[in-house]
Amino acid sequence: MIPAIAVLRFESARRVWLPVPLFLLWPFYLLAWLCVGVTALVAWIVRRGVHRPARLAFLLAMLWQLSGTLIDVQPREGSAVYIRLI
Amino acid sequence: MNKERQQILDMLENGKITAEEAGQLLDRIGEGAPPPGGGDARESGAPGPVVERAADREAPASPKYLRVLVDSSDGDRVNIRVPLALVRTGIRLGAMMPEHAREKLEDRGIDLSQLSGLEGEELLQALRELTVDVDSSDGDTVRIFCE
Repeated sequence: MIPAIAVLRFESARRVWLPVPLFLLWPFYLLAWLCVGVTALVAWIVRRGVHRPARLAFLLAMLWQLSGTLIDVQPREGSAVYIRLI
Repeated sequence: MNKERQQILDMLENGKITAEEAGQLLDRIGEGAPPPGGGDARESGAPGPVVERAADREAPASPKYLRVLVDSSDGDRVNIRVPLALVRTGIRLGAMMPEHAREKLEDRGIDLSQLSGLEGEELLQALRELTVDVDSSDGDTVRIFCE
């Protein structure tokens, strides 16, 4: 599933939770898929640069699987990093 | 100490069986040797073994996430959860790898195409049994498992 919301946490002077509405980007994902499809079709016709659309499709597939990812790093010194994709 | 275990130890003491046979019998009754210096957990009435072995930890039927927990003695803590679907997709990383990088890896004896040959279920089965527990003498701990 494509991540819909990213929750970011910053701990500098004060703790700040920042929800990022990634679902607003979904139309761009759709556009990207369409572009990949058209590019792959053109590459198939021309027989040049066939691997490039495959790589783009792979990147989009990775993006699709990102939902559920959690990265929480709390160093003893310095600012903590918290990223959660829902 | 339970009766069967006592019998095996008595047989070993009397010379009726060898130490190797005693070990096999102890394994067969499902106990194995007690942890060094720890004694038998059943003596204390505890419901399970005192020390949880990594292999004994029950993996979920179908794990969804790969979890990495790092807790250093300095106070740094890292908690990472990666969807296994992402790992499966990442295995096909070879598609992203430039030709010259792939050639250099192959020169060093690393063949990524073997990884991409793993099918979904095969990979999940392998990951389900993956458990890494590291406890360093400094107090750092690293845990890698699927949940």
